[in-house]
Amino acid sequence: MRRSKAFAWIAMLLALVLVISACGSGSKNGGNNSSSSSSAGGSNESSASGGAQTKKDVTLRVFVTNVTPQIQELSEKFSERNPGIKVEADTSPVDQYDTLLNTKIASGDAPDVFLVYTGTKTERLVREGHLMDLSDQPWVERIMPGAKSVISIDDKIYALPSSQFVMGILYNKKIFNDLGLNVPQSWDEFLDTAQKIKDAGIIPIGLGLKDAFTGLFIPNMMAASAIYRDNPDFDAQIKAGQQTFAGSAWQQMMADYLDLDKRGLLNPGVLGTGYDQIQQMMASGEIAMMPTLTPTVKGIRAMNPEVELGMFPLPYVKQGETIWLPSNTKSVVAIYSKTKYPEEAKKYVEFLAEPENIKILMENNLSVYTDIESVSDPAVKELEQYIANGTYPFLDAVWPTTVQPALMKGVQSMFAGGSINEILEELDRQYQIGLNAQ
Amino acid sequence: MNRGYGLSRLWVNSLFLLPALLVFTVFLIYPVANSFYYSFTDWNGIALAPKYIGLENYRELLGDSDVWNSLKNTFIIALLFTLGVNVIALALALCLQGSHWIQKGLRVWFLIPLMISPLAIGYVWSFFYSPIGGILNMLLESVGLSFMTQDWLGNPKLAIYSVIFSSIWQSMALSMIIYVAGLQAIPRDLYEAADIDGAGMLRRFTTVTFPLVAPAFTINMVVTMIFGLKKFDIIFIMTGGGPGGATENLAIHLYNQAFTYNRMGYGSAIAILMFLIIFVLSLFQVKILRNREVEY
Amino acid sequence: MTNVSKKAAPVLQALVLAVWSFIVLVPLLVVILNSFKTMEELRFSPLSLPGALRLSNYAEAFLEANMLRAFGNSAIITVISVLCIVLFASMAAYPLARSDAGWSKFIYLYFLSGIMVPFQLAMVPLYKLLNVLDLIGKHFGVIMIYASGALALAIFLNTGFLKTVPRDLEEAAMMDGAGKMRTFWLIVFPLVKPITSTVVITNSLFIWNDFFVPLLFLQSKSAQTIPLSIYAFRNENMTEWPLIFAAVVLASLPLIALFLALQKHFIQGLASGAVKG
Repeated sequence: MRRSKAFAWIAMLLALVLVISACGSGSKNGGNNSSSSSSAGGSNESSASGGAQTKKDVTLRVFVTNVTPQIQELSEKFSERNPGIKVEADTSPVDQYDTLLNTKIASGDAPDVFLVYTGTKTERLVREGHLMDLSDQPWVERIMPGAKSVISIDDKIYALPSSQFVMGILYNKKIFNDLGLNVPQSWDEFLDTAQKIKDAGIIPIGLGLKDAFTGLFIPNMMAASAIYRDNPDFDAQIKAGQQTFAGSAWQQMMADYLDLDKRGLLNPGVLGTGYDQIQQMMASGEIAMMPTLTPTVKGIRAMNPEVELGMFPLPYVKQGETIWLPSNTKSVVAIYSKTKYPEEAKKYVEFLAEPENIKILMENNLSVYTDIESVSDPAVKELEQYIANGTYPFLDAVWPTTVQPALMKGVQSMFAGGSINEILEELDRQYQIGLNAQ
Repeated sequence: MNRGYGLSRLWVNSLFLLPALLVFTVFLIYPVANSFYYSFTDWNGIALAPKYIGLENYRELLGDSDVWNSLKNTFIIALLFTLGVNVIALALALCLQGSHWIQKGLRVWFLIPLMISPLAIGYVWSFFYSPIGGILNMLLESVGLSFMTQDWLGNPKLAIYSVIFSSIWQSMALSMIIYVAGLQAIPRDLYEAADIDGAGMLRRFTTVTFPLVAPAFTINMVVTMIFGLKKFDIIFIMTGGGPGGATENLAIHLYNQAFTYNRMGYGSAIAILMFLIIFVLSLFQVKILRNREVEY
Repeated sequence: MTNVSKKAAPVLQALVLAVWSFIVLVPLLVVILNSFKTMEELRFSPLSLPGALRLSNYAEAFLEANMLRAFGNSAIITVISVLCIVLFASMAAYPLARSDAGWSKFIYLYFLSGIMVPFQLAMVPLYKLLNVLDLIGKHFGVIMIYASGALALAIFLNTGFLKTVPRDLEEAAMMDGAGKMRTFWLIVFPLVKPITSTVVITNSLFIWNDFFVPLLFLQSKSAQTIPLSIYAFRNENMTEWPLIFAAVVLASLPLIALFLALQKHFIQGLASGAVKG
């Protein structure tokens, strides 16, 4: 009979724990008074369990990547200024962000305010009707015209921009000075400079292809000068079927890209080395140059405050020609079209758009607002002067969403010995698939 | 047994079956059925009304070289994982059947990797396999084997084996424990009989040990094969399927298609394919192995 | 055994054991040693003993990675999931093992098919479902997912085992007037203890260390399980290996400690079900 007692206890315990866990475990910040069993959301706030509340407490759900940790303190500031509107800011690691966001939207449970990536990703969301039109918001007129045209979709604005990212080659000034090297202005000079660095026993260029996205920097930079400077309609032509990746300037670009490895100008074990290791080696001076984005500079300086850094655009040009760079306007957030709290959400975004807050969000990057000045890192400033020559958006902003992952995989394949032709054909194939899906 | 008893019997049986049936159907079968439906659409994950496209996805995947590549990798991983785990587990179990304190201690020691999350295992081994400053290469250099240093995860020909090894490292001991139990259940007199016949180590194994450890063998082979076919977490963390798809199996491929390429419909079709393969192979394997089992 | 075999056997065994012991030791040692170093120290001499024991790594990992909360979440989810699996599976196995009717075979196969379902197949629709039931971010949702995934194998094991158990005890109990429920709890359930042990151990291991399901369904920091907090921690400190290692050690400690304390039961429990099943 002891056994049956034991079982009775277990059964009761189980029931008890099941009830407890179903009713509010995992709810944020403990159960507040009106905790209707809702955890990640304030959507049921109004149906408070029988409690008579004179003021309706609103909770805005905000979702961004962990690259923007400032969102927490900004959200708190906002709540202080606007009692009655609570903000639940959730972050996710970058590589999971799209997955999580899409799953949330697909299930009809999208956050009220969330990060969107400029370009085709935003376009996708707009086409499916998930984003609110923000063209009439007060902060829109403060956006620089160039940036405004980049983020507009059908002449409407759907997201709050924060800053401008640019891709370039980060270089170690001390190594360059010690070896008497100048910033290269052409592809031949670039190869020459790298060779001299190699002869001095230092790794010329660092590439961390284990993290597939790093493979994208160089093609983006090459394409800006080699293709878009002289033919800005290239993408429109691909869309219209008049152009393909295969057989275009991409063949030469990829061959030259691979050539860097063949000449031994890249770090050994390029496919097995991750981005974090490359950054480490850059900070410690083992690598002289690395292709990257302007925001990365801050992190590298944090690893080694003594390192002297500069940036220049990848000169994939013949001597004397103009160099173009890839530049992207980074968005902070957009508003879910079906949010239950449109007014509060707009207020939140307006708050973020205030100059001091934009400054916090943009960190050391270049400004996109007419009333905000870029407070940049000296290395980033070095790159800024080239922007006036000409820029083109990051390619994932203009391609269907299926193409970039294919290019990432393709670059790895290429370095693993794959055929460039096959890779470019796959890009074409994925482009068509992506177009049809949109 | 009157009719009343029959009805109450049905009622009681249902009561026993109900909780499991409910949870299983609602949280597994129903979503799977949905995925089945999606595999006939071109759903991109966020559209509110996916478009029906019939067998298009299936036609595409039959001609998709990436799918064939993933299929090949799935088999390689499953095969090597299953073989690796079972051979090593059996070999170690043979050495650890006794009750000497060292043997007991080692059984515990070998189980420790199993207590660690595959996530952590992935991070640690990635660190280990690093081409520059990686521990494995360093170790090889320090014992004068520097010609053997490699880009373990970056070399496309090697990467898959590196990942498989890490996976075996982690889960081998589970099978080993099962083998130990199976071995301990073999009656000692059979071994004595073999001894009297003058059998050497090898003959002992082939005539007594291996046939009688068959039930443990069956279970281990089937379970490790299913896990090998489904492997995801550790690959995801260590290589994400790279470099260039060298370690991409069906599970990783379908995850990428569904979530990175935003082709949920296509991804669902690949998932269905994966399920079919696992189903057929498992059935096949169980049939073969069950026939081998010896009653004693 | 022949004389040669007799002499060779222990040597061979010792060799094999020594090799694998080394293989298991080195990565673990690397993690522990380096968790006490600074990043520069690690880069320059990963294989050496730490110069000084940098306990701040552990403190930082503990606080930043939200360890205490994560531990609580992992514990709740694992315990309840396993309880559900054990109870529901053994209950379901009872009629399935004792009946020969057609419907029983059908339901058995129905459950069996679940063993081969890969999680990815159910992933996205599951999210939609959990959202409709308002279970996103809640422990209960994740518990249901784990239970649904584990029931198939557990039922398979339970049914297989029960079939080999003679019905005498049950029949005796029923003659004494016990209803089916009481017969089950008092007689049958205790009998399947070996299987129960196996099911408890293997599922606890899997659920405790799983990160993919919590990643998709338990996103908020307050509901994180231990693997998830390591994942987030690593992404925020991508280059700080000593910190990551410290976090890994902290995360593995509870399970390892539990394992060491209960090793005998653990190992016995693990093997019992498999051999008899």
